[in-house]
Amino acid sequence: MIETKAILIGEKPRAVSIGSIKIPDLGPHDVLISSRVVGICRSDVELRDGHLEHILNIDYPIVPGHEWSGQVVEVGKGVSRFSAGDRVVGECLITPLDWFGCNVHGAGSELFTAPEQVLHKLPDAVDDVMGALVEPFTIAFRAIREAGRCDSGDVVAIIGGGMVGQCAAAICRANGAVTVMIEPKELRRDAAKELGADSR
Amino acid sequence: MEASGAPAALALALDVATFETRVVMIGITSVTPIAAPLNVIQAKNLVITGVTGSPKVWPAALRFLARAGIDLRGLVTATFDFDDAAEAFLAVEDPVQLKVHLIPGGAS
Repeated sequence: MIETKAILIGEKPRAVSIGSIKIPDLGPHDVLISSRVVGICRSDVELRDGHLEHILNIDYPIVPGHEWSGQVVEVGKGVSRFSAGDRVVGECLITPLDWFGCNVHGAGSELFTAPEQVLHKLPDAVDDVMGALVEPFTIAFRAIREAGRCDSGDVVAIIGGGMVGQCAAAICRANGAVTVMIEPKELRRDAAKELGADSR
Repeated sequence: MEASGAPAALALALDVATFETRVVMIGITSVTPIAAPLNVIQAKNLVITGVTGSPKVWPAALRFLARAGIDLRGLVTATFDFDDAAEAFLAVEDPVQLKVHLIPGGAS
């Protein structure tokens, strides 16, 4: 059992505070990770405000953090894909009812554990800051794949220049598509332009 | 691609789509009902796909990110120490912020 400093979202009042949690001994397929960077997503704010309870059973206090990068400290006896020192990121969905950083303690503690099955090694070209942006990037990446095609023959209009919209703009541009960002905030239109959007 | 979740934008996505457009809905909203011109789905031969989460694409997405040379770090508009997490959560609601990060031990 390890005690570690943690960001906690409490039940009443639903405020963000700093405290500590105890991490149980590693299971055979668990990985102990040192947190490097944690992003705050709109859904973390929804978690703080108690708006996720209609879809998830949440035992407060809960540690947020589903957009993150970290470094492996120790692995369980059955873990084969990772070893100490690996830089990693992780998927949010552990099971349909267990969401990392939503109703399962997330990456907002100095040390945390995650099951091997949700983890991926970070390529050398992707640093820790970018690593914490991978989760929203994958949403945009999947959306474009689900659309069926995105290449130089396409014109893509993206409505909304939040994080996922920005990632979508970057992917569409990398694929060669004419990319148009539709967004009322100038700062976000400018960000899309920086990422290569053709028009805004 | 609708990525805002704003109710009016969900309707706008159908409105701005041209004939035979593929429309992908990613934006999240709990607002319902939303008034939208559903008749254009048929009239413009639209194909609409909803997306939630990102199962099964992480390895490919990581390869793409590394190979394409995309640099998203400019989207991080503020970085806070874990100790200042409450303040960071408030910053997320500031419209000038795009992405707020937390770092244990503080910003490097």
